[in-house]
Amino acid sequence: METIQLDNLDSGFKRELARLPEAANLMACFTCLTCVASCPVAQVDSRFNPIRIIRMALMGLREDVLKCEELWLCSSCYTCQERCPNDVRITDFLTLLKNMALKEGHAPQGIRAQEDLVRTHGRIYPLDDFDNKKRRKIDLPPLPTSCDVLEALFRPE
Amino acid sequence: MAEQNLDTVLVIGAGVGGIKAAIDLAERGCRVILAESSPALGGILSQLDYQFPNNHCGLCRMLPAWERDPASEYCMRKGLFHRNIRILPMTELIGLEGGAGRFEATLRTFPRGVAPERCIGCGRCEEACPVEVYDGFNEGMGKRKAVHREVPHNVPFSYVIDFEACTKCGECVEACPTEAISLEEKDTQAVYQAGAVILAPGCGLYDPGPPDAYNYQSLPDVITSLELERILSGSGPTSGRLIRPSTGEHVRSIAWIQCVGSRNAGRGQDFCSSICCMFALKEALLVKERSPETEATVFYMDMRAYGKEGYRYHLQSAAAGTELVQCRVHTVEAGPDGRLYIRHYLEAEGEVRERAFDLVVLSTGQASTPEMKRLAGVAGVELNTCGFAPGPGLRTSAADRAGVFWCGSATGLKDITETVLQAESAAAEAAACAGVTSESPESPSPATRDVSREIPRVGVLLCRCLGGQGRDLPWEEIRGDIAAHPDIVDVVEADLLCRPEGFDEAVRKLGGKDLNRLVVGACAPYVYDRRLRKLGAGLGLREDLVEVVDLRGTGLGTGDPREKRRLAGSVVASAVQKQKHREFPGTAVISAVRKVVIVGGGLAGMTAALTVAESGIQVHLLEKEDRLGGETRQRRFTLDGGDPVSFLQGLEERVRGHEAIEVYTGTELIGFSGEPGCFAARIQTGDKGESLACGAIILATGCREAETDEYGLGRSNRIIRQGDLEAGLAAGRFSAGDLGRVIMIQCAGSRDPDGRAYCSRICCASALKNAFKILEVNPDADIFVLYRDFMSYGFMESRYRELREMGVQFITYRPEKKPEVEVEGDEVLVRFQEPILRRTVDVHPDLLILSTGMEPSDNRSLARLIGIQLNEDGFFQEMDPKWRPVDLERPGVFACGTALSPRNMEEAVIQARAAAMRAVILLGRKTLPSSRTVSEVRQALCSLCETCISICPFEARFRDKDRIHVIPSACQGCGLCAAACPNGAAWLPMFTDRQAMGMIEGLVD
Repeated sequence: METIQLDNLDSGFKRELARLPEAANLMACFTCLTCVASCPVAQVDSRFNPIRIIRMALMGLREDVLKCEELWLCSSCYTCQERCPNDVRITDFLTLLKNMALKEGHAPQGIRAQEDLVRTHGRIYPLDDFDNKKRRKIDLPPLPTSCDVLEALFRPE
Repeated sequence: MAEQNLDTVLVIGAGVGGIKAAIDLAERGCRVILAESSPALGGILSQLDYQFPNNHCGLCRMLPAWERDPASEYCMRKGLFHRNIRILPMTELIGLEGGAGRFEATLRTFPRGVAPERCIGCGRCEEACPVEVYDGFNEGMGKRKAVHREVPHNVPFSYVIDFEACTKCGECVEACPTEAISLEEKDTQAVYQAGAVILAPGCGLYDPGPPDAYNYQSLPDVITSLELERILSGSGPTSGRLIRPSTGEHVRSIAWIQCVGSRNAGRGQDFCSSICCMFALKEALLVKERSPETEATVFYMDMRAYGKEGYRYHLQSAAAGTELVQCRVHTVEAGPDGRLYIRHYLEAEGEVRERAFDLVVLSTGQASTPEMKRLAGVAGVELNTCGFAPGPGLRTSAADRAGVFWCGSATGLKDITETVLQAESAAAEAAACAGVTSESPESPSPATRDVSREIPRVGVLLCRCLGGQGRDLPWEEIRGDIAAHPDIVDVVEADLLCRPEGFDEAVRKLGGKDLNRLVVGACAPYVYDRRLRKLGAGLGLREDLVEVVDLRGTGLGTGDPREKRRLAGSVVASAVQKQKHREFPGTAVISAVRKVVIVGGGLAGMTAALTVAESGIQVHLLEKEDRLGGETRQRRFTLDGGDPVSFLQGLEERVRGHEAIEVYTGTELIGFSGEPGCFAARIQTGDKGESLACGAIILATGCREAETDEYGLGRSNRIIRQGDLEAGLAAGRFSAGDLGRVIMIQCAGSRDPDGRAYCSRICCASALKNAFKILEVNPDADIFVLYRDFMSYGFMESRYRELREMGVQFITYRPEKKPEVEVEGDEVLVRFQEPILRRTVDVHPDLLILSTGMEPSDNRSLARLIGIQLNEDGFFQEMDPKWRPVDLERPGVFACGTALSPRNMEEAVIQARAAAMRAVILLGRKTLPSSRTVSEVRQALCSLCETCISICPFEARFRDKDRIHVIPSACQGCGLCAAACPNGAAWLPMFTDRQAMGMIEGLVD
């Protein structure tokens, strides 16, 4: 792996993050490894490691952490957050990073495609008449196939 | 009715701290009231059989060393007996009026239910009792009755009723043969006057039940470290066999989980419990010794085996096969195979693993208890936010109410060494507060006659009760057998000697028989020995002419009456032989020179000087430099925001101003001879020599900040040590505002078998302190601390957390992959491995700070001069690092401060006061009576082979020209010299061959 040039990193990044409520207590982390040992995703996929993401953020590897695809492997089960002895809001923090990544255009393509779906249909899985036909067959009421509040929701600020 | 004893000190709590403080005060001549809420003494120590560093007990080493006769020299796990200590079990403090020097303390004593003076420990009540409860002594593993013995090996063996469990059915009252039991007893209250109060209630241990997820309550194989200690103990629930509580199978693998209830800021447990790492390492080592094939794995965060011998023990345990895995464990789950599963992250692999164990041990940390809060409330003193007594700070061990002192684990869990130091320190302050100065009162000895030239006339007194077991013995025949012995003048019988009526009857019967030796056959000599020896007083006999033998414990349980008769006869005959062939050595008496020489005028030396001087003893304080203060002069601030500069100034003013202290600057010790109580110290100031007489010497020669050839120190002005940074910041040589990026490397040259093999204990705190100082001025500074195990023990843990929250980053490195430093012109390149990212990091810091730790001053010539040992690292070697932590091997020589062991200023002050207390105890009396059992030398038989000198564990023998000498006050009468001497020249008057052979003959006849 490439050597990290600490001199070039953004040492203000951690303090910038620490001001946000999702990153409360982030800097209190003492690398006890409870989060990763508890993580059901890390158990099956060693690429994902919450402490690694925290450490990247704290070191100021701003771009690396926002670009890293593992971020999106988190299943938001909140086990790490529940177990953290320093009350680091780990899951909330990962969500925060995901939002930042998306905003800055670093999200993986699959995620961006999902974003487009949500923007245009209000759902990740867009509904159409075919779905409502199937629903009718098993006596379920139809669902709206379009979302009329989209414009209001995604109106540019 | 208050007792009028203002030189009395009240000690609350009889664990190690309370007992140590009580013994020191008693030796000092104070009267001590030792109140303990439970029925037994010893606190948590009564449950621990093995202690670091040698995995033995050693509790008895707290007993008086100088004047041993007032205390019973018994195994302290059985009990404590000292004539100046009044022990009040089952007693708590419920009121404290008045102030320093004139407290009025109200104590409440709970009913035992069983009168100890009547209880003969026969156990019939226990058999009769129908109520069973879990046994607290064995941590709830196993059961006991409502009427029980609190600690099985304690004496008196007397029983106590657990009134919370008792149903008052009355079965025990019926069963008791001595009418000792009363179920209607009420609390009693009494008021005592005391000059000072020491609070040593200990602390609780964390309860790892829910909401924690260790399944401690539901899985029997998940136990606490204290429970494992009971399992490993011979007196424990499994008689020392290492088996799984669930199945009884042998344990093949054990996991220890560290930091259970500690280092958990989220739960308000924002502290490190300080001792659990050493505890786990010790238990793992014990397990490996018992069962080498058992896997021992410790899951830890930082292996906090800090201080003088900690790292060596860490390596020793690891070398024995203890596996150390750095990962905090949250959950323990049972698998379908009944084994216990732990998920953890393995840093080397970068993967999460799951492992199964037979047994999981939770290293439960400290917890505040309701009793601590109640006691603080009653005593009118404050606790910290975590519910513990506040640390002592630089000044004193005093609580915020004058005359009240804390010691022991109530100030946070402590190991034995620190507890003993704190107890001695508190004892020193309490003695001063209670007005005990100059000399302690000589204890009057009762008038006795000299019988050394009389023909032995031995009387025998037999107690027919023997704990209820003696009733059906053939006493007529036994008496006849014994009376037939030629040396015996008369045999007298009595009943219930342990009770006043029995005692008085015996005194009446023995009178007028012109005896000069007395053998008493009774039961439980541990308890009754001292009381029964008083029978001698009525006959004008010295106590040691009364021999008490245990008839009850001597096989009288066998069924055959003829065998019982034979045994009783031979045991008495043996004791008669012992008294018949006894010697009458003279008692050596040395006049004490009531002056102390202290070498080293730093923080520890000055503190010790003041403590000694305030007790009315003269001090000569030697400092080799031209001014006082030593290494502490370099300290500008402390982690707690203290001001060491003005503290040191104040201390120096008090030392200089004290009339009992004479300060010699520019002076060194160049010669030393004599024996405790009477030394001659030769000193040199410039070219002027002088001789000083002194009774004791305290070495406080200090330390210095270590150098290292690692990490480019000295090759760039950007690379400096923590001490240089502290001085530089204080003097303005470095401006924190200019520091963008700072790297600190911990353990620079420390914890390295090829360098300084020890942990300097203070460097992590120094790093914290200096980082705070930088951030105070420049909150945007980017500080990285590269460390191996971060030693922020105790309440320092919260400072460590605060600093992380301020943005300082702590990154571990392994000793096999140390950071690398290159000097590139004006720049410094630091390259290290980031273990979480598993990537190399390059950085050019503005400053690279090395935590090099401390190394002791070169004490080799001083050690040679005085005749003491240095340890492998050059620190003074204690006589016993746990139980006598400031006594050196040569009696009368003490040490304190960083020359003895690395420690911070607060800890050094405590240690200095402890050393002063030891010296004051030694010189607290005009003469130093030695014990009656002191080895001697038959010079005519001596071949000067010096075997006795090398074997003596107390350094009590030395050779002077063609003679071997014994230092009577140092000799502990252990007899090793007599056993080792090939010529029979070394001998112990009270244990001669003739006596021993006679005793054996008595037994086998």
